[in-house]
Amino acid sequence: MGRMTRTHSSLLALVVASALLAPSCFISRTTVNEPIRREEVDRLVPGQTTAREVVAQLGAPAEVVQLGNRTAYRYDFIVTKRAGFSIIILSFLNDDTCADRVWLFFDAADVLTHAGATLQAADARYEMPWQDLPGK
Amino acid sequence: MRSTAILAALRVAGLCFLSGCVSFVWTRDRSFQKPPEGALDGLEIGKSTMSDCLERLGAPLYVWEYKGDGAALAWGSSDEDSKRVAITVPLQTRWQPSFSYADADARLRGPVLFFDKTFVLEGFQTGCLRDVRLQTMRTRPAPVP
Repeated sequence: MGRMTRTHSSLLALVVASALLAPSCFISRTTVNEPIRREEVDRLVPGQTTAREVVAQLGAPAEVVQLGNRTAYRYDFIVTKRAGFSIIILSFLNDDTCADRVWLFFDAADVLTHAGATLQAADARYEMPWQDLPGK
Repeated sequence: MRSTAILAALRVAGLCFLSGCVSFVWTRDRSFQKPPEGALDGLEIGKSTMSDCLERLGAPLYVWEYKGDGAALAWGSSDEDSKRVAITVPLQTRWQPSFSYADADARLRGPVLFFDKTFVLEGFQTGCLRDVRLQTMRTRPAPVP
């Protein structure tokens, strides 16, 4: 009988502990724009590809910057991974934002002159504040 | 009398903690990755071209017009670590689902490279991207209707 009560008490403690801790963990993922594919960027040839062809291939840019009589287009895909948990009065929250970015520079005739690409959106991680991330 | 006051204070403190009004919060917010180590080494003012720089540093975060025909390219990242005791009184629920470049550049730090009208490296500066941008960006006048 005493053994039974002890088992019930342990179970109850476990249920209470789970109820306190389990609902306090969360992860979320937020994205902005569409992923950029490496093969699509590799198809762009400086000195040949025009702004019209770029827009036909990649869609509308996120930003157009005027540089005198030249222009630069920005394409990006941003991923933010957020992880957190709370234990009664302690809260830990971590945001990690990484991006795929492409900048394309056009001359006055709208022909591509320079292209720069960094594809790192896949590097975003769900981590805790005390954990270090490579490259950050 | 004194013990009653202490007891009351303890009860209020207990209520605050248990209801989540007072909490210890450790937040860390990391945005983007730093340019590769040593990427700026070997770049020469007056010689290195924009192609050289894009190849070494990858795509910048920001581009803006510099001295009319030139360009400023900025790379940056941020790592904000904050530990605080928070007292929360919920008055309004607000949720910002998207990342905003305009909000972020206040926290981002990194190199900014300046190119002349032939897109040859003219100079560079390192620091808070928003500050460098404000110092060097020329605002165009609004078009006359």
